[in-house]
Amino acid sequence: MKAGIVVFPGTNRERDMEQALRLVSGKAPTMLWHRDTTLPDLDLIVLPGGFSFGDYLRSGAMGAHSPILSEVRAFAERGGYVLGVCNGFQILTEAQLLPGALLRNTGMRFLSQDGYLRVEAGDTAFTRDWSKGDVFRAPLAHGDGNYTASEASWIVSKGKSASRSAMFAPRAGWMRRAASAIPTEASAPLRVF
Amino acid sequence: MSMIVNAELAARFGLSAEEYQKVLDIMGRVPSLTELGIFSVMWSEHCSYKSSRVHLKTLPTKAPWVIHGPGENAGVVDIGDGLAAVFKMESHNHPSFIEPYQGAATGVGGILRDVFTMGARPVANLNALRFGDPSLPVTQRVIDGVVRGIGGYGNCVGVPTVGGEINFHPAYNGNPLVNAMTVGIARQDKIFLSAAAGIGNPVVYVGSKTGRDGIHGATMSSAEFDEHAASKRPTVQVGDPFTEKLLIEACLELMATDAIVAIQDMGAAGLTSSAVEMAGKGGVGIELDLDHVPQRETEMTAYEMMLSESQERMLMVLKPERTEVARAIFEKWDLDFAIVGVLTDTAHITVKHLGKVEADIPLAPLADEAPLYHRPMTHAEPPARLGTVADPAGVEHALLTLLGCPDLASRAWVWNQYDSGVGGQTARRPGAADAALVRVEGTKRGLAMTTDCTPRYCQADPRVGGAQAVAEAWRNITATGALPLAVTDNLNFGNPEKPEIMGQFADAIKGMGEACRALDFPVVSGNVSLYNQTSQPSGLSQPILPTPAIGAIGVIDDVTKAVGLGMPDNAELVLIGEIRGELGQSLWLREVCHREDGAPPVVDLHAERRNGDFVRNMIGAGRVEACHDIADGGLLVAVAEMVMASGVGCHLDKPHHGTSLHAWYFGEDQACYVIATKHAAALIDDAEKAHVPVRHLGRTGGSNLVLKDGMTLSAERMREVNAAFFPKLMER
Repeated sequence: MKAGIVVFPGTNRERDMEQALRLVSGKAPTMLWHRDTTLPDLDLIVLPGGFSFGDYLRSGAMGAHSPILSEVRAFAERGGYVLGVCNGFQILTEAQLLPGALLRNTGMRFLSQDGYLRVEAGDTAFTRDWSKGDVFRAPLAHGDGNYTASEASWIVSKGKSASRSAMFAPRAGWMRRAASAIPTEASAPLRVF
Repeated sequence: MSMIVNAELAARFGLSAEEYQKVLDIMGRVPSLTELGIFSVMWSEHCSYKSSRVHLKTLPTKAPWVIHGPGENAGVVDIGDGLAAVFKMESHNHPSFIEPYQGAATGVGGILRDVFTMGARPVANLNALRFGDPSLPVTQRVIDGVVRGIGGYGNCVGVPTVGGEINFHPAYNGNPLVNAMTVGIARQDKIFLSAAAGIGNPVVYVGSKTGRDGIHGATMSSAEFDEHAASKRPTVQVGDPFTEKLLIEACLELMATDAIVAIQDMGAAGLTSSAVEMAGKGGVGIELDLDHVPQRETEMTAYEMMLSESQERMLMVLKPERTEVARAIFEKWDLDFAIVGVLTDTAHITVKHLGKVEADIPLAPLADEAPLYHRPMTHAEPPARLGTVADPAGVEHALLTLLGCPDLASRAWVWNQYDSGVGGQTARRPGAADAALVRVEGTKRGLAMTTDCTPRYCQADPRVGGAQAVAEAWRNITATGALPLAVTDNLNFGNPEKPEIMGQFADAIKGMGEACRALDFPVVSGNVSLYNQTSQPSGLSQPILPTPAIGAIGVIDDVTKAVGLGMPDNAELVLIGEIRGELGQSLWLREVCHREDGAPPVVDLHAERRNGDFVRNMIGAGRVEACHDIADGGLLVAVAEMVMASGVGCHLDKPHHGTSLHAWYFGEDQACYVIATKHAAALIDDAEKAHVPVRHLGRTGGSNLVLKDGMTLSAERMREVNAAFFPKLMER
């Protein structure tokens, strides 16, 4: 798998992501700069976490207007996999590559803790090494992690997830939504996906 | 405010009559406003250490593994594999009371710059915080702002906040303490220093633009507070973690080339101190042309630019032929880059603005003739040892009281607002072990780090308290299995012009020095914060408790072999060290008996060393499943914390004969560790052979903490009590 990681000014999870992808795929991912207007040959583009442009506007709002986003959009339309994690997911919603939006956490404070997620669909590219019902730990750290989308857009994106293009990102988004709702000490994970 | 330079203005800038006379002698004339400004900040307590220097000099600073000790932006120690840890702790106390969010945020930003200035990528932040009486609205406001500020800055800049400590005491009501520590990792052959060199080399300014914020911040932090503290809000700077993040990446990218001759961040006293220190250390002159300084506001004067403490700025001396390489890197990161001066052979700092020379000061006397005081001291008689105290409440009530009290309650509410995992190298999350553990990227190695101080001990006996702070930091690192390497200190005290405060300061340093020598634990960096004292409208002045906060790091070769608090089922609990039942100045005495008296616990540095070395060896040999030192709250609190951390209960043996029950359970005896082991017999045998006091303590299992005399408390019940304090206080 050939992966690329998009770095925006203020991205701060690109080093973790690089290690994770190297570990999983055995290959060093390519680092992409937010101003790039051409892409190398890739199977996966990852938008990692952080605070793109300081998130001084809405989280991800500035990043969504970086030049590389048109390339990411075209890549997704061609059927490439796109994974947005944390701030990367916020950018994808701001760019309307994904439905919905992320609001402030309900407690109005930044939250950094572990969330526990249960796999509800084991047949996606992201979950295929798991089986339905498996539970895994996912660390979370965000101030704007409260994913909100209308019922209609959920159905649309669920439908889309059967195709390759939108599969990764909505999954990541649902994870985050669930994660922000789970108390730290929760022993019974919430149903997600 | 009139800005005519005379003795009166000098006094308003914080210079004494004698100090102003010295300025006149050096200059041979009345200085300009800009020159007076430069003298006053360079000679402020904050920048010159004029009251503390004579005492600081007595601390041990060398060891074979120390690469750079005090005097650089941060301390540097060898951690193996050609790598170095670069670390320092610094206070932002006064700003954090005036404007808690920005005060704390810029404290984090400032200490980060001290570390990456040296070529290190910051890998962890810690914070030692002291707040006033939690029931006061002002304290809650300060806690809220400080925690948000630390999180707001650290989370955005992408450096995990992995540890620290929080204490409460009414002595901090008007003067909270915010001590921020950063640890970074650099290659030993890529350490950058601040001494300028090369006459004619360009002096380059990078980072944010200069505004009028923070003018005279260093002077503000060198005076007592009064009821008009709020009017000083304009002297607090505003932080921009996004720009800091860009600055880190741009500087590290530039440092990978060979363009930099010298580099220094602009911290307290901004452009003044960075220019003066770089030129002074290099023994060269420096000429600045302020017309080229990137400015955020219009019509700034030379005086304002030289004294501004705008954040996220650095000054560098570059190789002239590399200037364009450097410019391209900073432009890529959207940061200002400006050649603002040149190194000269004049041995002066010369400041030009709009074609006029605004300042021209000889550097040597500015540094060499900086005031140095042997301030008068008085030493309070150490308090008598505590006599017998009856137990008013019973063990169960006392334990629950302690687990729920402000100083011992779970800090999860605070930690959960800090990103502790960014970077992906955090091996133990906050609270999971006695010290935070961060993996060294690309290796098996781990760094252990902690901050420690017990201010109530320091108040009762500064010398013992100073030694105890160092010993506890050493012990916390040891309890993870790591080898303690070195210390950074953040010495927070009251007004040094008061002999009793100066006496506390000198005694605390004496104790620290003794402990550092006994434990091979040199001090490699630090910061002094004096005048932590609030004048009341009544005319009385309230100093803080003497608080020599110790930040420390250690190294473990294989981070997967480190241990934390979590105990497995079916292990034996063993006590290393001797419990005599030290209740003087204990939390039990304060929280259960409402008394703050007696002598603090004895610090036996020989026992500390012997017991700690033994514990570390046992962890290294794989014989230890969990380890926790005994500190605030004593043995039973230590065991309860292990139960809460793991959800695994334990049955404790009968207490030791000859010690009363409450003294055994809640005494704060030093040099003691609770160990969970599956090799108890061998471990006890080895301890006895090494003459290390050892005792079987109990056995893990179930989910309750069970004592022989009948007390049974579930892990869940203790967690509930322990977790209640912060949310109840802050989320009403």
